[in-house]
Parts: sequence; C-alpha cells; structure tokens
Amino acid sequence: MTRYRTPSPSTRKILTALMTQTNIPHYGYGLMKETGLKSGTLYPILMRLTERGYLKAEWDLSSPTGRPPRQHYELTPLGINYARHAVKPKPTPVMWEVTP
Amino acid sequence: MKIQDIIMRCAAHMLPATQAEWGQAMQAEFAGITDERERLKFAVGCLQVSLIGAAQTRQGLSFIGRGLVAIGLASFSLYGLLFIATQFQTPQFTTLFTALCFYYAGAAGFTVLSLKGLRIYSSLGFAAAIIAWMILKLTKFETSDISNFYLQALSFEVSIMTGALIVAAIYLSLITSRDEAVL
Repeated sequence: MTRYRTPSPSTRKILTALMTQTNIPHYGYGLMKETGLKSGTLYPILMRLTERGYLKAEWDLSSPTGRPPRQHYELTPLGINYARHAVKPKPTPVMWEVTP
Repeated sequence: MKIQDIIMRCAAHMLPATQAEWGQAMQAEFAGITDERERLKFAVGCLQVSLIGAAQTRQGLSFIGRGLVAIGLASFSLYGLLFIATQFQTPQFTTLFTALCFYYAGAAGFTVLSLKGLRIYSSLGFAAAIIAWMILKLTKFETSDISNFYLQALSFEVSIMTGALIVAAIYLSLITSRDEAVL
C-alpha cells in the first residue's frame, strides 16, 4: 500500500479544485481564483506537484493571437490517487458517552 | 512600462534556469489579467517565488547578496551626502564626510562590477583607516575644526566598515566561484 505525506491545507485546496472539474483545463490564474491562494503560494505547490509526478503541465497552443501560450494543469493517474487520499475527509473522533 | 510589468519581468528573469518554463507560464497568466491591482498582486507573488527559488542556488544567492550590499552602500552614501554632509557648519567636517560618502559609493560600484575589485578597494580602505587611527592615537593630531577624538572615532568606524566589506567580498566570491548547485 502506498503511503502519502499529509499535504498542507493549501495543497489540499489545489487538489480539490483539480479533482472537482476534471473536464475543463485548469490555468494558474483560474486556480488562484478558485482556491483563493496567492500566486506566491500557488506556483511553488504546482512546481512541487509536477516534480513528484502528480501533476502534468501542458502548453495551450490555442491561445488568442498576441497573447503568449498558457500552461494548463492536469492530475496524472498517480496524482488522482494522491488527491483522493489527500482530500478524503478524516474520520471524526469518537466521543465516549459518559453516564453518571 | 508600469511597476507591475517591471516586477513581473524581474520575477521571470530571476527564476533559476531549471524553472524557466514556470516563468513563461507565469508571464502568460499575467498577460491575461486586466485589473491593475490584481496584476500587481500577481507579480509580487511571482517575485516572491523567484527570490525563494534563486536563493536556493549559489548563483542566485550571490546575486541577491551582491544586490543587497550594493543597495545598502549606495543608499548609505546617498543619504550621507544629501542629509548629513550638508548639515556640518565647518568645511573640514563637510569635506571629510563627503570624501567618505564617495568612498562608500565607489564600494557600491565595485560590488556590482567586480568582487576582486571590491576586495582590493576595501583592503586599501581598511589599511588606510588602521594606519590613520594609529597615527592619530600616537600623535594626538587634530585640526582647528575637528578634535583628535572625532578623527579617531571616524577612522575606527571606517576600519570596521571596510573590514566588514572585505568579509562580504570574500564570502560573495566564494559562493560565486563554485559551480551552480542547489544548496
């Protein structure tokens, strides 16, 4: 069984955003808007996820003329497994009922 | 060109070579943002990413170190020239202080242009300051306007500053001369 490191809340937000809408391409600025993270937080996480093979970054060559091509991000099969594990809600602790 | 465009350019330029593609991706996103406030916030965030990334490579660390030393020295000398040298009532004090400000401005220039030059320049300054301090201590020399105590204090301050500059120059040379590798 693969063991994953517990991701940070920011990473979890990004993974949730990437998992919820898999049919549309995710761009940097769009992810910022969806997650509420700043570019200074978002990009290092995207870089790290790409390095670990959880995320695939691809150039979108269909950008309108006069605008540089954008990069969109997609979870890899390994990334989907990781995201499922990461965004899985933690079980709530059992509270023992104390009877007098 | 607006400040946010300059910041974004700097951010993309400062990213380590291994992350250059990320710089292009950031610039492409930046190009699509229309709100100026948002553009500024985005650019500042990207600059933060670049600085952290650059600080993890020797070359980047050296670049940041040189930049900080140069900016520190330049602002020190500019502030001294504009706000301190003009306040002295006696021409001897003004001349001495202005010369010192020019010396530090020269050091700022060497920091940017050549670290070897900075080493030599600050070593000469250090030697001159130490010799001046010893002579002043032995001879009790003073001018009509400046007492021996002030002259000694000034030469002592210069020797400390130039000593710190020599250490900075050696450290920056060491990290620059090695191959670029992640620390």
